[in-house]
This record gives sequence, structure tokens and C-alpha cells, in this order.
Amino acid sequence: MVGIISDEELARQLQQGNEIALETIIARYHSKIFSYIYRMNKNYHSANDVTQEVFIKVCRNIKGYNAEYLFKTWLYTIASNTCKDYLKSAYVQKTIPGFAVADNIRDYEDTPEEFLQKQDEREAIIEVLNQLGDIHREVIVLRFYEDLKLEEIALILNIPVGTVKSRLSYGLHTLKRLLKERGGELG
Amino acid sequence: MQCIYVTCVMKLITPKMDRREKNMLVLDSITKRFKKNTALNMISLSLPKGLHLLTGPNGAGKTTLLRIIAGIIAPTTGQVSLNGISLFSDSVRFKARIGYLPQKFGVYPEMTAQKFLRYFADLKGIPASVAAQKVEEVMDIAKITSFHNKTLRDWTKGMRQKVGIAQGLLNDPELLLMDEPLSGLDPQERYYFCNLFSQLSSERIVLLSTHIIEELAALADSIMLLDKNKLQFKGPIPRMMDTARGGVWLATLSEGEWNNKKTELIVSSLRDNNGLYEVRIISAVRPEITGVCSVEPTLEDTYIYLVSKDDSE
Amino acid sequence: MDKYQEILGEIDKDENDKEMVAVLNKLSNYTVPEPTVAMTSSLLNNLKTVLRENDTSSNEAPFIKPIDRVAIQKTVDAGSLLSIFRLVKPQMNILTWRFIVTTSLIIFAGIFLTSGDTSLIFLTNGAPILGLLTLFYEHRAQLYGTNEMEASCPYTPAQLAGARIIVTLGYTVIVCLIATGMIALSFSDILINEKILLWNTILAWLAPMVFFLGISLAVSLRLGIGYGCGSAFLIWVMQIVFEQNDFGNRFIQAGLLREMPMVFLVIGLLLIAMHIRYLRNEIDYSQNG
Repeated sequence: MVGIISDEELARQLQQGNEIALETIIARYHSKIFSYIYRMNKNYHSANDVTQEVFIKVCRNIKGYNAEYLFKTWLYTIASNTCKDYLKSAYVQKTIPGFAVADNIRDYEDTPEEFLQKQDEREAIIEVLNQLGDIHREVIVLRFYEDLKLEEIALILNIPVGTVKSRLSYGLHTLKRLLKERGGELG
Repeated sequence: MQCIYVTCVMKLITPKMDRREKNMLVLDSITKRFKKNTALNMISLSLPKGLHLLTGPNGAGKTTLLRIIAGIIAPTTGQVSLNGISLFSDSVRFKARIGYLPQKFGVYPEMTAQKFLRYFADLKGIPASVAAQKVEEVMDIAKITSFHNKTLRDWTKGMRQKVGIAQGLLNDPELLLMDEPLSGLDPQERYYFCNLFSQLSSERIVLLSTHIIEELAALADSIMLLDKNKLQFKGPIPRMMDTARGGVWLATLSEGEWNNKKTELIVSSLRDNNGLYEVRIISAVRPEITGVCSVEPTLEDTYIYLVSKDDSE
Repeated sequence: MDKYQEILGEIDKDENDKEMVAVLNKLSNYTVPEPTVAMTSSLLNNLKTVLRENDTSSNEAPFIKPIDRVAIQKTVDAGSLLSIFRLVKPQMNILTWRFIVTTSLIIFAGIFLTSGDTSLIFLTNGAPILGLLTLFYEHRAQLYGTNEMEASCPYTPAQLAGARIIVTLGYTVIVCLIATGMIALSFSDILINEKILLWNTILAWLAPMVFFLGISLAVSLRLGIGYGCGSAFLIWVMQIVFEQNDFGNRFIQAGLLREMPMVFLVIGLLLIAMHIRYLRNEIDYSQNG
């Protein structure tokens, strides 16, 4: 583990204006934050804009970051709040655009049939996820895709850990029901 | 001639405006007697724009003095005025120009920092149209914008201290009074706030009491030493150190010698060097110890010199 | 997969729950495109600019926008009644929703659970307690030590006290009026018959409430709000006890409160006025600073 610098140390360096620290932080978190926002916003182009906004806020407010708290938590809190602001202000399309970039995620080892099937399955899960309420989808995204711990999610969303658990449970159970209704069997 | 005449007339008929260049806090013969003791005895001073430190031993009256200036307690005798505005005859105008941070303060635990600061903005008479913006401004300056949704109950002591500092800045005060403002802050934060106070002092009078002079010594414009109810010193720090020149001595003693002499010596520091004690002695006259030599006083030496001076008189 | 096991454990499901595992499998189908290299480097460039902006601005003195002091002075002007009303709004924020819901529910529940005359007795005895609780809660600053910061603000202690009393009286009167309404509804003759009966009912709780608030505030002039409310509460208890007790009744005409409410109302108001008039501009700090 020698040589792996902690997020908090990077943040401290960023407070001094260190650009190498900035590059390391972006290398670690650009993709994660982007994918988080993409799943929350459901739109590729706006995900790019919102991600940029998140990191700009981070840089502007970095001197206000207190190393007592985990950098990751702080970062995701900013991302979560920025997302919420965006979803409130913009006209958010309920349909799911962004399939034009499906090519990006094509696994070239798939046969055409496999690719289409994966497309279908992807569409299905996106659809049911969008049918979930924002608060439940958010917890699922943070837990399942961003791999954050329950305690971290509690801090980010400013809710008790118990509430995180119950939203996660409710969300997953609802997904199960919706998937069954949609396409029959599971498991 | 006509120009001079016009200027004079203009000065006469223009209402008294607060001009920043005229920033001056004046205390005139402030005395405070409590039932059991006298806390302050004929304290007079005048402070211009800049960063001023108030220091002294515990119980010297620093907090009492700050409370008097902030208009929280009334002195037994004496006057306080800021830019010509008297605290006693014009307390609204006076208090509208000050920000105060007490040594110990409580918060409403169920409020968030934003609500708490908004509450104080209202209490300071800040018009509703600018209050929200003011709150954001001071939260930004005090570096507490993140976690502003957390209730104060969950904030650490250091974070609450920052909320207190932010509160003091809400009304863009011409006089900023702070009682031990750095307590509870970690070294990085202390560094930030020391610089902040220094920057703020370019536009206003900043008076803060502190135990730890070293941190602010380089940035302070003047220092006041309060001891035994009086101002033992007021002026720039280098001048304060001048007073102790010739009163600080360095000696090396064996353990036996040290044990003999230690009750009669006033010492500012003691260092153990393999059984030999290197001692900095504070004394107006040369101590009777072989090999003792006079040295340049440090800030700490000066403080102890001034504080122990009256004991021997 | 470990991750699946963890999640299933967190939602209290068995790790062999096939259906849930299938759900999690489906979730993992939701792959998302990565940001392109171009996007990342464009982001970095923008951020570096922001960082550099940060640096230059931190060397300048923090800019505090100047404030209109004339407006502040007008707002706070100690002579005007309007200034006290402006102060009432922030003081209302001191009564939290939890407090309001709890205290009003207790009163309403009490009315609901009793009937007729008992309701009235509950209200007339409960109103002073509600008043004292609210008064104490409004003055929490003394408890928490926030009062020193509040004292450095331009509003005078008298204005602050006035605003807090308005909030206390306002809240308790509203709750008790609603309670009176509840009683009146079940007692329709009060409405149909003389309006005077309604006024008498209101006076029956208003007088003791104002009276005990007055005592509490008068005592607090010397001993602080804790002792003020405490002593008023004690007197309230004694009054109830003596009223029930024939022996006690001979000592103090405890029933007087019921028989001559206007007198006590006026005494209460006078005590409140006295409190405001004699409020010292000083918190007692007799210890050395």
C-alpha cells in the first residue's frame, strides 16, 4: 500500500492549488461521478454538463472542505445536491434518450443476437429504475453502482442509516415486482 | 479664498457621516467594580484601524473589558465611543457597528447554521432583502458552506466556533471584538483565521483577546497587557519587548543548584540538558548565579517580565 | 458475489434468494459509457482555470459587501412599536415545530378526554402551565448561553423581552382560544346564549395565565428565567392545593382567582410592564473575566 496517497491528502494539496493533485482526483473520480450522474439524470449530454458543474463547485469550495470528513462523502454530497438542483430546474425528459451512444458500450465479442438481448435487458432495467421514485433510485445507484457504504450514503443524503436501509429494501423489492410484471419470471 | 469658505460651509452643513478613515475606538477611564472585587481600574485607550491583541493572565479582566465595549455590561464609571458615537447615549447606532464573539457561547441546537445566522442577521437589524445574501457571504468567509444542512447539535466545537466568527461578521462591523476566537480550531484553521483577521483589520478595528500571542504577534499592530486591573502595557509589540530588555538572563544550573534556587527565581523556561538545567530567568537585577548572562528577550520572556513586575514592587 | 451477499444481508434477505439475486443481476446490465478522453482533458483545463482564480482571490482581503447602517438603525429604532414587531418574526423561530405540536396536542387531548365543566377546569388550570412552558422555551438563550451574543445586538433587552412576551402570549392565547372553541362546540348553549358567557370562559383562563406569566417575569428580573418560571409554577401548585383544601382556604382565599379574574389579569399585566420597564441592560457577570 506504500505510495497510494489518500483522498484527504490530495484534497489538502488541492487547497494549496496543486494541479497534480487535481489531475489525480479527476483520474480517480471523473468516471465515477459521471456514471452516477448519468444514472440519475438519464441523459448523456446533460450528465457531462452536470459533472463539470460538480467538479467546478469542488474546486471553488475546496478551501471550505474540512479534512475531518471523508473527501468521497463530501464529493458525492455536492454531486447529489447538484443533481437535485438540475432535475428541479431543467425540463427532464421522461423518455430515455442517450441510446445513440449505445455503441460505446458494445462488447465486440457479442454476437448480434447477444448484443440485441443485452440492449433489451438494459432497456428493461432502465425503464423500471425510472419508475422508481427519485429517493429510492438514488439509494440504489449509490449502493449498487457507486459501491458506497450505508453509513456513507447516510451522510451524503443527510438521513439516518435506518432510512437508507429501508429505502434500499423498498427500492429493490419494487424493482423485483416491476420486473416480474414486465417480463414474467425471475431467478 | 472662496474655495476655503465653501469647503468650510460644506463641512458644517454635511451631516456627520462615518468615514472609514476616522475609525477609532476610545475608552475613557473605564472602571468596573463587582460586589466582591474590582475587575478594571481606570482603563483608557484609543485604537485606530488595525489588529489589536488583548492579553493577560486568567482573571485579569479581559473578558469583562470586552463585554463592556460590546455593551453587554455597564462599567461603574467611564465612557466608550466608536467614531464619536457614544455607547451609552447612542447604543443602537453603536451596536449596529460592532460584531462580538464571546469566549463561551451557546447555540440553538435544532437550528442549522444557516437558520442560526439568519436569526442573528434579523437580531442585528439587517434588512430582510439582504439578510440571506449576508448569511451566505459570512458562511463563505468562515468556510462553513459545506454541511450547512446539519443541525448545530451535531457540529464539533471547532465548527461552532467558526459559526460564531461568521455571526460577528454579519453586519460588516467597524469594530470586531473577539474573545479567544481561535480556541477549538485545528492548526490549519488557526492559520487561516489569523490571516483572515489580519486582512479584515485593514478596513476596521479588530480587537481580540488571546492567550497565545505568538500566533498573532507577526500580524498585530498593537498589544495590550491587562494585569491586576490595569493596562500594564499598550503599544506595538517590538516596543513591548524593549521594556524587558536587560531583564532576561540565561544560566546553566546543576540539579542541586536548581533545587536550591528555584523558589526564589522567576523563570520563563526550563530545559533539561543531560542533568544540567538551562534556565531563562526574569529579573530586573543580575541574579547571583555564576556564569549567568544577559540575553535578548523573547515574547514569552516579555510577557512574564511585565506580569511579574508588580509582584516584586 | 460478495457484493451481492452484502446487499442481500442489508435488506434482510437470504443470500440464496434467487429472485433478488436475479434483480441484482439485471441491475448490473445497466452499463454506462465512460467519459471520453477528450471530455476528461477539457474538464481538467476548465478546472485548472478555476483553481488559478481561487489563488488570486485568496490574497485579497475578503470582500464583505458594505451594509446600509441607516436602514439597520431605522429597523431597530428603539422608540417605535414597529421595531418590536419586526423582532417578533425571528423570535417565533425559537418555538420549534416539535414544541408547538407537543404542547398544543396535550391541551387538545386534555379537552378531548374531559367533558363539560371538567374541560373548563382543565383549561383554566392548564393555561398558566402552557404559558410558563412557552415563556421558558422562548428564553432558551439563557439556558444555552446564547444570550451574550444576543445582548451585543442593537435591539435593547426591553425590545427583545417585549417581542418574546408577544410570542408567548400570542401562542398560548391562540391555543387556548381553539380549546375554548372545542369546549364551546360541545356546549352549544354557550354560543347560543349570552356572549358574556363566552367572554367569561376566556377570562377564566386568560387571567391566571397572564397573572402567572407576570409573576414569572417579575421574579426573573432578579433571578433569571429558570427561577422565575419555577417560582411561578410553585405558586400555581400551592394555589391548586389550597383551593382543594378547606384548611388552606382559610389561610389564603385561593378561590379569589376564580372569583375576581379581572383583578388578577390587571396585576399580571402590571407585572409584565414592570418587567419590561426595569429590565437591566446587563446580564449579571460577577465573576472575573
